[in-house]
Amino acid sequence: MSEVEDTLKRISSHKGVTGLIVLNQAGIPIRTTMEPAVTIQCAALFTRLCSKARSTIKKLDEADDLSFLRLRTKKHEILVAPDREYLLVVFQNPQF
Amino acid sequence: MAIRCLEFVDSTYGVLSAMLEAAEAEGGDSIAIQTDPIKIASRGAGPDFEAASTQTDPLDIILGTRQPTDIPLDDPSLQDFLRDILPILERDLELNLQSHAFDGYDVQWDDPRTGVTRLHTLTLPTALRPASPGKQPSSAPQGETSDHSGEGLQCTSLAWNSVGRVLAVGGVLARWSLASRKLQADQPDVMVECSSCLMCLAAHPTLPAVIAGGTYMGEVLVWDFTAPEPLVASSRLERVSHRDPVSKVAWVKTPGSYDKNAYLLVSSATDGLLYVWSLDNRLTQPIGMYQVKPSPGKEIVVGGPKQHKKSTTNTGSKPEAWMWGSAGREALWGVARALWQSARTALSFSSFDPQTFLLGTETGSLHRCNLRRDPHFGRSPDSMRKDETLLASDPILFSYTPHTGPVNALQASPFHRNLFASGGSDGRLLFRSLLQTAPELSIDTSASIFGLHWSPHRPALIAVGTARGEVLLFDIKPPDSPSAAPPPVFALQFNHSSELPYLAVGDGLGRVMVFELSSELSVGQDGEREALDRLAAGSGGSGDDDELRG
Repeated sequence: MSEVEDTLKRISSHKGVTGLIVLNQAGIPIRTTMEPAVTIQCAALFTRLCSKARSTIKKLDEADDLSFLRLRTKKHEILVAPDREYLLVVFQNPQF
Repeated sequence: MAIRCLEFVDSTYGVLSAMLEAAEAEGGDSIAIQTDPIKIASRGAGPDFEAASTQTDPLDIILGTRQPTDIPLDDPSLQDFLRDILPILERDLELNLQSHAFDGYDVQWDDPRTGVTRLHTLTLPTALRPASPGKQPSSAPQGETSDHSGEGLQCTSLAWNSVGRVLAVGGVLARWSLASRKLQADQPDVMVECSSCLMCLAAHPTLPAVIAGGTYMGEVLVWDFTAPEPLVASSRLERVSHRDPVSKVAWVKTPGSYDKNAYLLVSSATDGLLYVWSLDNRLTQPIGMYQVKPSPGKEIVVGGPKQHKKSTTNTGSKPEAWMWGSAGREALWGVARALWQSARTALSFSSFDPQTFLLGTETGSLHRCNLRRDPHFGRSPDSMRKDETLLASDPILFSYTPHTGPVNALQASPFHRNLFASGGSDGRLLFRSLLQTAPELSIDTSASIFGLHWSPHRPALIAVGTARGEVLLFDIKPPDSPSAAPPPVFALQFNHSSELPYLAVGDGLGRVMVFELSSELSVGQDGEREALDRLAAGSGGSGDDDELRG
């Protein structure tokens, strides 16, 4: 098993983690543990959200950049890790 | 020398003039002909041409059944990215589990509404109510309705359409569009009379204008109000159909279909049969059939098929005693079994597994069933022979401890996979786990329960309609706050659109009341899901709902 697979397994086996998606910079899901329809929707929405968040930060301070995005919802904690080439989205149910 | 000039006119080439010259000297004629030069215009025309092409991944990649292979997973940059992010991610995942920073924190996105307001009281026009009580079928499952049967039509069923703007009312089919400014409380926008009383309604989950219903005579009907003739399909009584009042119709997603509007119709009747219908053959013939019948030993299924076999052999001739555990109730069981054939009053599909459903019968028994028990489930009507005889399958997978009277209402929780609530004529509202035979929580309403509906917005809220005319809103988490309204309440429906937090209530006088719920009763709150989790896990104990307060 590759190191990538290993790492992804490790993250999804964390307590409370309900889903995980890796997107490339074009917003195409390259690894997912979620339902196909949900994955596609997440891919489109989180790519957009992330670029919006990033441009907000950049406009406030040219020297700053987005490093991590955490969203607290009624159902989930969503952790979004952006990168030049990839985007990792992790769904966690914190009251597990 | 004489010159004669002639002019010819042609519609296409214009004037054609000919000059005739007579040359007398030579003794011959010289003729010259002259025409206007022909003008030729040439113009080219052609359509603008654009080419576009798109390319997507093969369907199985999009649908996730196959992972895309052309993107190398061992790409070093992906490895680096994951390696960098892993410590931060893991730390946060850990912290989230311990954090209580957001506990009890709730954002108020909308202006809070206080109190429950009655917005409308809809009534059928008095002229259209059947005058003779004889024509009025006893639409409620129980005999307790007789006090009100002389009053006219009863509201037997309610259905909000898929967008939540239109309310359809059973009895006769009446539709009110609540978004319309011309709304008249005593005049439905559309009214369709059927040959007999409509017992149940189910709005199509995606198509707002489509609704299905079942009648007292046993017909299953489907209307589409966008069609010129609204009744688009109906079962034929002279062919295969129910012979008893249809107690429930429900839409089930067509298995294996990617069309989001593809649904099958399941109907259950008091004759103990369930039919599966397809709109593809306009309900001319059912495509599936199920029958709930007590095969020997079947009654004592307590822990799934394995235990079932064992207990049959062990308990020998009196399996009932094993199940009931007390001699006093043995007699009751005998009566119940005699009545079995007139079974079935309540049906509810799970929102998590679309083919699993719960069935409550007039004898009080409750079963978990599955449509896949019929190996042919979901086949298309084309694959059937014209006069194929349907074989009934037994859908029961698991049975629960019964109510002591008919089960009138039953619904699986839309928020919790394993939780469902049932209400019966014994006045008990039981909350159960799908996996346990015994109820986890019992609330005594001290009046027969006819209608029951879980809130689609607030996980811990459930509305119950009783024979005493009360609409009880139970909140499994904080203390309950019942509100009241007159005659027996047969039908309840929460509107599933979150912008329209309405609860529609239909009663024995044929009235339909639409309540707007307060924010407290319509916006999900912190800790409700956990309350459901605890209830399903059985730690809530039984008896009082107070025990479940968080």
